Amino acid sequence: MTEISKEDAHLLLKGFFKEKGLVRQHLDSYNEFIDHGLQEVIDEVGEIPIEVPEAPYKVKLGQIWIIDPQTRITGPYATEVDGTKHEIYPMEARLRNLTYAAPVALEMTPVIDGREQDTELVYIGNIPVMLKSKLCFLSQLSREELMAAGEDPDDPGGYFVVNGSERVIVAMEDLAPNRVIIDMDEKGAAPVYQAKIFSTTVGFRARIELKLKPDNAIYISVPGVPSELPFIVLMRALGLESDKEIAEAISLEKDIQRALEFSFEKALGVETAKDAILFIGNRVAHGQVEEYRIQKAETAIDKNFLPHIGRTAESRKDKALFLGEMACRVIELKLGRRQTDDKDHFKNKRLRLAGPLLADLFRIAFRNLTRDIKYQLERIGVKGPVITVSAAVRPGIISERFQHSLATGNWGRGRVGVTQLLDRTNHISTLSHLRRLQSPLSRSQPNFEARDLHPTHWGRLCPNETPEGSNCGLVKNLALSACISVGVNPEKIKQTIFSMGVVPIYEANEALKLSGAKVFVDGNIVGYCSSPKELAQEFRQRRRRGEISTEANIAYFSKEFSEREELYVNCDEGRVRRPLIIVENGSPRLQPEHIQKIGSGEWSWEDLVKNGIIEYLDAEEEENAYIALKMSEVAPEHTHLEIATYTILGICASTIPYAEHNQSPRNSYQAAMAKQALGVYATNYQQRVDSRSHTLHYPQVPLVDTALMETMGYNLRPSGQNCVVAVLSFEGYNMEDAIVFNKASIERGLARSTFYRIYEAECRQYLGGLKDKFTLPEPGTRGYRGEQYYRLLEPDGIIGLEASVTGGDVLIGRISPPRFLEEYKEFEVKGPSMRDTSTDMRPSEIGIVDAIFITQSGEGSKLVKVRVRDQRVPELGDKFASRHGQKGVIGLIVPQEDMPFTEDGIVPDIIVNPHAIPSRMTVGQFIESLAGKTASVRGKTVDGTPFSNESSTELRKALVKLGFSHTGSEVFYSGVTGQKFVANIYVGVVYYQKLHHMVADKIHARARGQVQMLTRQPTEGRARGGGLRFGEMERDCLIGHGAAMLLRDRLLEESDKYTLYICENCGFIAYYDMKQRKYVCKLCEDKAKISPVIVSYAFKLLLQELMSLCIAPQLRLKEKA
Amino acid sequence: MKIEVLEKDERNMRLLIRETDVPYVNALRRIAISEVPCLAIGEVVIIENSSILQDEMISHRLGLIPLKTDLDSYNLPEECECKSEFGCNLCRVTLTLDAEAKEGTRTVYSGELVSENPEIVPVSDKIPLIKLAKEQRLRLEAYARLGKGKNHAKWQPVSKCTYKYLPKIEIYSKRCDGCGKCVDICPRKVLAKSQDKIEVRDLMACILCQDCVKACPQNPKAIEVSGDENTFVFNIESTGALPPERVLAEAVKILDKQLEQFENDLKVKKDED
Repeated sequence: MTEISKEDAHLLLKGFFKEKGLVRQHLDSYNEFIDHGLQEVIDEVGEIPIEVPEAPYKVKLGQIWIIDPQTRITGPYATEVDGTKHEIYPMEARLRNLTYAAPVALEMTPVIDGREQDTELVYIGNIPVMLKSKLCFLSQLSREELMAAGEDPDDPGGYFVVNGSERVIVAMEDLAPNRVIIDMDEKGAAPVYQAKIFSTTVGFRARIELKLKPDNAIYISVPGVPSELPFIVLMRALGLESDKEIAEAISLEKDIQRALEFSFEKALGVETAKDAILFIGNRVAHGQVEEYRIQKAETAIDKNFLPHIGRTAESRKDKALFLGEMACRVIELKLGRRQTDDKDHFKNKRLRLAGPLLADLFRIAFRNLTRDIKYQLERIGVKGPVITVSAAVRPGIISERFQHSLATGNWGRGRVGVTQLLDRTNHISTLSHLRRLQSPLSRSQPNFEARDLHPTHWGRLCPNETPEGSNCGLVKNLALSACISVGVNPEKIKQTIFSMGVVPIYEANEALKLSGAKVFVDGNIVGYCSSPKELAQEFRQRRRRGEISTEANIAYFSKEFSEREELYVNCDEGRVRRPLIIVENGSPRLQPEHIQKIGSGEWSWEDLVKNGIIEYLDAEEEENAYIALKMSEVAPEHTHLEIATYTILGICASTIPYAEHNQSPRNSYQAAMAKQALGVYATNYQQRVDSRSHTLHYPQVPLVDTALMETMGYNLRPSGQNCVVAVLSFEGYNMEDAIVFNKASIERGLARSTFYRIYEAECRQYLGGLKDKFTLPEPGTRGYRGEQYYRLLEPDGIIGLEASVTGGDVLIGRISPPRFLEEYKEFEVKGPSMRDTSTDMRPSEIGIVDAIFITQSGEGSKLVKVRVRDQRVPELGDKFASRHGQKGVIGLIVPQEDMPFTEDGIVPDIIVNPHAIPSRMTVGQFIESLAGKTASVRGKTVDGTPFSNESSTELRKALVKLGFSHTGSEVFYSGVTGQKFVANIYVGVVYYQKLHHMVADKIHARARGQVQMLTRQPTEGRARGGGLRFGEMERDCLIGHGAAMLLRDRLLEESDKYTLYICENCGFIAYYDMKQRKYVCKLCEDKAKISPVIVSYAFKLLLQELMSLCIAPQLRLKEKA
Repeated sequence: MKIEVLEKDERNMRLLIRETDVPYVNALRRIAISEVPCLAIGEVVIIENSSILQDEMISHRLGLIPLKTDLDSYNLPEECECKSEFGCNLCRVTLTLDAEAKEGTRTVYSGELVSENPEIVPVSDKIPLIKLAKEQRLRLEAYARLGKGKNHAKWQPVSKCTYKYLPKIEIYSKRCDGCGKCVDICPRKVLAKSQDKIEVRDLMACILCQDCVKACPQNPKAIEVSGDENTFVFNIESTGALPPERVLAEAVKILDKQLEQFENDLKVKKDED
């Protein structure tokens, strides 16, 4: 067997990403929802009973279709005001602020007296379409066609377009449903042993807790039951009556059964199932009639208790067995036979993606719809022989629910932020956003363990890419090798394992129950098995042969973990799995001929999976695997081989060259900064209407690249430039992470970018036939701003192209009818006076009008979008960063002749300070510098892939051959004095990113300006022309210095100075009456002696607010001493 | 001061300058970069632009095209008699461009600029300006004027102007055991080993990096490298706007003028006192 080389691994991964793309998880989940999820929700409801008093009938719900019954449109479409419908591409939705959604129709059949009437296909609403999913037109198009449709051919899709804005459903990382987690609560004096489960079935989630309390008895909490129930009582209620039956449901082992003694004591007097149900009934519905109590208790155990097993009385026995297993584990824990489960182990986590989340929404919306249909039909009653169901359907219920939830991220039940606006800073930030994961844990609590990197995250989540601060470790990103399972039917898998020698739980004999391994499918105990290890082997072999779905995973736990052997089979959705090469007898199954087939295109990635060369392991099965990192390490004990080590990183971290040479937090910082770097975020940016965007003028492919850049499309949409960087202090202008730029480099176009902002205005139509109008407002219009602001408008009220605009200039002139009735001044002949509601440039921004889009919104009103561009040449204070978490702002721009130079005429573009390096240990940057230099001289990029790259030794050798010192440093001469520097200067080519924090967006100063209406103090914030806060500490400083006059100036004269009139007689506020031309105190009248007092307006406000609270603040005045 | 021409062609010039000092050579270098004027497009009137590049980006690209400069027939705008903001025939050259992609996507090169003075043309015809897609058109009028590198890099007549100290290498044969480590490490192949002795093969190639010194296992070192601070290897590479010798001559002229000016300023000061 020859080695699998770096190139081979790369080829393999290329095949992987070509087939899967980077947002497969979203698309798979959404497609699954469209194919099955929708229908499942319909089937849950099944039929709508219409309870008309004289002739009740039903409406049977049939199959759901993605089609508009009227026009036969089967994809995303738009409805115009005149009622015509036509298919649309996403670009039209973005431009016109539409929702990219497809019609859904449902077969409905009225059933009268058991006779089915004609089936009607009824349009029930629109469902938003995920871009590049099955329903999206884009998924069918070639690259050329995509471009013709106005799309970026490399856009990943996986998001929605709602009201013109792009929204992502961020995946939720949840504790696995239907899995028992046992743990120990040591807060009290004696430990409490507990087993928890989130029993989840479609649309219902119940948290069941089983506790072994210090009194040695077991209790269970069930939702809907106010108090905890004794374990034995519940078991009896579930139909196990005799003590023996109950004890055997838990375990056949005597030690464990003995531990139940105290639990049995708690259930004394409750001997039969009926007693037990009554016992529960007494707690659920205390003091009610017996019949009602029994009914309530039965609903509690059938509907609320372990609903995932079943929600009917038939499943009670299964529930009893499941509960027995839970109790068994808790007892084992107490007896020290078992460890607590690790909540953070990734086997206990599942991802909830777009599919299940949309299904939740659809369920709620559809239930509302059926309720509405029922109401409407009952209202109509039976009028004629023909019932038209379609007349009773209001499609808005579903459409609006989807649209509202996606647009706001509001999922109901307090779940907010489920969708986010897609990050379009650059290509990397978009991809990373689509692969983000959020944990529902509170960000205000510490949750230290949950935030930690867990060993099982290897290959599933990126170890580096997580935000700093409150969300640290809670927001994660998928690793490149991560794949999410979509699930397979567990019944099928159960049949398979039964045929392979697993004895179903009801058929197992005592000996097997005592000694055999317990077998679980999706967390439920299904049977026993005498040779689990062999069974697991056999299972895997069959899966590799394609006889069992590749979606299923099996894990065997030997007696090392507990006293019993256990076998877990998983086939649910949302498990994060990763592909690995199978190794047998010390040799990998992947052979050179397979690589060849992949290379020639004869085989695809899927063929490797089908042929049992590669398989996916979930975190649980990986516990059984022994994985070699490198081909050369493979030994007979190994079961698997990594495809490539660098796939453990996420999108952002895998763009860092030589990342393994950096201190790890630096890689995390860079992962965060890569998302702020300017580049070309999409090639169709000229057609797009993002409200703000940046493009870099001359983006460059990095000279030091990484293996996955190509697959991620980084080389096609890079976000940075290769700069000659010298490490040297420069006159103190690069202290504290500042960087010095070469003026000539900037003049030649280095790091130039353009900022685009889009301003939008719509011609709304109001009730009563009034309309907005785009026009050049005439002087005298209410709110007219002055002639000069409208000077650039053309007669249609829209500004001309290429006009140079500054803050306050009107871009779109518009007049609107008055807002309130009182604004109507009597009945004017000309009609109501109009208000000026023009759209103007933001204050403090300048630019040139770049493009104007005139279109029609979904409501049929005229919609105008104006794009303004502003060229951004790097200036003092703009922020830059290398790819190693080394960020800095420009501290000085130096003319070329003053910059240090080498005898070859090399003048650095950037000078960074050497002090930025030692404490941060970003050695990777040095190696990148060396590699960049080599690459630029030899004319071929250097591979800097983390863990598998051209080593610094090789680079140094190459440099000497190319005529450079092996140290990477060079002899420099001072540009100012001309003298040679004593020390050689480390210089090389480093890829620098321009980050979107620019001085032009932040610079702010104010002398006088706006004040707040309420307090008359200066406003806050740059956008409102606010003042700079003179805060407490600044105030303390002036007090400390005794600078009373300055203090008074800042806090009073230049803030909210106000002359207040006080009646010295009563101490309350008086005022000056303009009509009487005198000072008045309403309390004292003639006795008043009124004096002016200068106070802060906020103080006056305080006095009045106190008065409104019935407190009488009086001011006692005294002459100044 | 003695100057010896080591190499010279249309664009490059390498000189050996003896018996001078660092400040003088550095002053020449600085002036060549920042003070010697040359022509570059300073203003552009865009008549039609249906390409995807913005006007400012196109004008920036135009500005960076090096133009063949005739220093004798043109004046610096600030020194020109016309005193006009727009310039006159003596301080301004008009270039026009009218490019349209009729058949399909094509690249517009600098050679398509039409100059009113056939002498003043881009140094190279092959500089890509812009890519036009079918039916896109670019029409503009550009005004080239003389300017100085200190105002904008486009007015730099040199792409490289640099020097180094003349290297001096001493090998102490007594201490040298001829291990050859210094030969292997030298990036410019300055040293060579013949029999057991190290010899300087190409002194001028030495970049003073001292790698050979650091590599020498002897203590004290058997090799010593230093630079002569009064002898320089001076290197000029022109953008093509002016011949390199002209750049140097102009630089000397400007330096003399500046020194004269400085002297006068000093005299005036003295008189005032």
